[in-house]
Amino acid sequence: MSESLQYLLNPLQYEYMLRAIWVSALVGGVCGFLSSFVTLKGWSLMGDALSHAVVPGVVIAYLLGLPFALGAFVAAILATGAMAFIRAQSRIREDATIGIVFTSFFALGLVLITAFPAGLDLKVILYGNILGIAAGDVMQVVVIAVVVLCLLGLKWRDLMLYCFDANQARALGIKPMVLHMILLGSLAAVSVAALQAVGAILVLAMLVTPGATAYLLTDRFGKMIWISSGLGIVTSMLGSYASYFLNGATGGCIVSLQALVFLGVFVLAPKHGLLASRRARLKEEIVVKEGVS
Amino acid sequence: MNALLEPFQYAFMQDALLVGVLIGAMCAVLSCFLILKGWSLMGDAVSHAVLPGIVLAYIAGIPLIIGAFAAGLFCATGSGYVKRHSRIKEDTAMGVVFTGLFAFGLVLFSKTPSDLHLDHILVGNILGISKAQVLQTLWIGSGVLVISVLLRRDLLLICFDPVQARVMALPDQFLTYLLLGLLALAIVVAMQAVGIILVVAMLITPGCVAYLWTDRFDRMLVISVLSSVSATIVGILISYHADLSTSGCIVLAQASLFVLSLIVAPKYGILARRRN
Amino acid sequence: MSYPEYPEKVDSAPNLKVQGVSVVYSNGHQALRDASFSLEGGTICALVGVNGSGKSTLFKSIMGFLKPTSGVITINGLPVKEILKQRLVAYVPQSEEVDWQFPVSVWDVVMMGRYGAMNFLRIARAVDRKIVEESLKRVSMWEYRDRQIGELSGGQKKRVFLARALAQEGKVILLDEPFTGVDVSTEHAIIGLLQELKKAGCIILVSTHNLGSVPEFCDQVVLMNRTVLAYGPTADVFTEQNLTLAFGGLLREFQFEQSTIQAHDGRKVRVFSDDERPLVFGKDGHLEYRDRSDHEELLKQRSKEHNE
Repeated sequence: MSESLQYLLNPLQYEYMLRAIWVSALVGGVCGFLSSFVTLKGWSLMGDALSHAVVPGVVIAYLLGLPFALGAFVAAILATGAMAFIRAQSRIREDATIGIVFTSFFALGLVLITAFPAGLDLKVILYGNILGIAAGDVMQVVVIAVVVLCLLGLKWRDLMLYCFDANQARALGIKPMVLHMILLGSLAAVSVAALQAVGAILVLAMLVTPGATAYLLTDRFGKMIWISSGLGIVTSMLGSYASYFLNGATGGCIVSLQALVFLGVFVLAPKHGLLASRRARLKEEIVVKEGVS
Repeated sequence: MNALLEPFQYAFMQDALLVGVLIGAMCAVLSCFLILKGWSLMGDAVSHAVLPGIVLAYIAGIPLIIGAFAAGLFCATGSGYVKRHSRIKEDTAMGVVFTGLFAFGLVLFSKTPSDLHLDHILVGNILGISKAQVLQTLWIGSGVLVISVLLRRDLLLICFDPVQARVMALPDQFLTYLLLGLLALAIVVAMQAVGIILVVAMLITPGCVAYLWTDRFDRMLVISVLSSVSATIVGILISYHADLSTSGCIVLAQASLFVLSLIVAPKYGILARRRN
Repeated sequence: MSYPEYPEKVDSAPNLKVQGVSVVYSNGHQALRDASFSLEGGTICALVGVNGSGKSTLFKSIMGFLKPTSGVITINGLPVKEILKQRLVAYVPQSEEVDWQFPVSVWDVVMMGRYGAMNFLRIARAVDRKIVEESLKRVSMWEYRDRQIGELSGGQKKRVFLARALAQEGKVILLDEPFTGVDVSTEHAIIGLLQELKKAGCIILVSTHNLGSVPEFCDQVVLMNRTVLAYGPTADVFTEQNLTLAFGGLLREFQFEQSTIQAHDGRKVRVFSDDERPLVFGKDGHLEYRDRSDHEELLKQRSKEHNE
């Protein structure tokens, strides 16, 4: 008994594990917070796109010895600019436009990595590297998290209104463009932080799954934010802890966990779950039959 | 010129060229349907979701391609199911499902000792493609190509007006799943060349290029194939000479063609619009 | 605009029966409850009701997209699946549902109406080309056959899809909001075409918000509010009383100082509207129009047609 307990507590002896757990919890919390907005705004594809589009920025920043976040941020701004430009100048659908831009950016990142073999390792981009994260990178993640949390915490009501009804926001004298930029900027910044924790491909999950899960559990936006942030924190802590036993596939563990929680909620949620709506349907059908007979 | 084409005297480059051209053409045809149906994200989702299928097939000892195909279809139908049975929007549902599957694939992979190269699956390895893979690609690729060209009228109707297909008692659901199946097969095949992450570019960009040049579907198919195949050849050549990531070069060549079309295409290009 | 005579191909006049149809969506929402009506061939019937009254649910059920929770829909006694196999139902979509940027020409779209009759590679035979040509000429769109569909005006767009329904040679034609975004002359042209199809024995079911135009071209009305409230000849069903039942809260009363309405009626009318063409009732449920004379004629003509 005590042996298995010992086995379970094993990862917590290591400083790098403890650090990985609290850093990923931080990232998970911020991503969870943001995911409520992403889910409501229908920006899933945007989240996916930005997480891939930051890659060339990260590579160049690394080569120039600049902070990751800076390069990533510039790349994200360029990518969103390119998307907006193509949207305005052509008849290509929005989803296709986003697809073209983010794959081009990612391809550029890939080419840059192969062009400068001494630079960044491809593996870091693809799978993240939270277990081996350097002290300087931890600082960056903390700064990003604090700034984004402050911004969202202060402006969440405005942002909620913007996600729900941009025209109403404009009518109230709130500048939608500013809110749009805040949201996009947060998305870009958080993408870089999440990239370190789970890798480019799984950033999307951190930005969507907690929000979608919370959306099935509540009808109040305030509560939704708490639930999704909480989910982000808990799943990230448990996931990075579990990855000790799974050869360091931290991103895979965190996101698998989030997907499992989503699955459970999807089936069992009290009002919007599969079982609940099936019950509602049966009830209606009975009423119909009674009404007919 | 000779120096430029010199690499094609090597067998591995010939294979790469053959496979690249076929994959380019196949993806180009499908991309026309995809962008018209608004399925760009579907391509992205299915391509990521194949990972657990590959790992499971490896463990079970069956052809990887079967596992990949099954996982891709599972992702598409699974996210459709989530969307229909909850209040989650379609794109969110897809995001949740495909990242979940991909993550599961990563965990599974890390627990499975294997000689699979995860990097090759993710970013492709067309220059190191094996003879068996070449044959597999030829069979499946030409199959997908032939079916999608022969049935293009039905598939187009499914993209344009599925209601009309239904009222004429055409098998609209079968056709939708057929398109999905062709998409999954194309992804599974193209993945070997350009990798999971960039497959989606092969499946979006050529169609968009062609869409900027013409208003007729059959012409769109031809332009799409031409642009995709030429971008693939150029990409492979550049990657060989400059020693750069092949999939990255192919996709950047596609993107360059897109930017070019965006500017100079008659009628829908930026210059043409300015003139009007 | 004139139309060549529609070839008499109807073997037996269709009859559409909707019996006790209820539809419950998977989220538990009940869209239709115990809806029943029946229509005989040779009619233009308006489907009238507020948004969410089950009009589109009914359309979807007839087109086989929804399976009623209870009740049946039949044409000539055939169930929906069989109806569709025989291509008896043709459908003209709402303009907003169509992607007008789609890379297809007018000819391509009308040819799609023939797919059901072609072999599985959908290669057009001479007969298909002939029917498509006839259909295009009947809606006066033959000259535009090579245009991309987005290059047409609102009315032309509508006519293309009407031509597709013609090419399909359906017996029951469903039109969803055919007059939104269409100018008056096109509206008349479309109505003229529908009249002809009616003479040829088709059942034409028009879902519309355009209450004002209903008495002008529809000889029957199905009034809906999550069930069928009333159905039958326009003159009997399209009454102030019934419409109050169907539209309840949308009812508004206006007073005019200057109008054809007599002073002794209190210059009072009742207006039904959720669209640009309001329906106006004067005293005793008498229909009111801005230029009465024309409309009086039209209405008389319609009720005569119906009685024939």
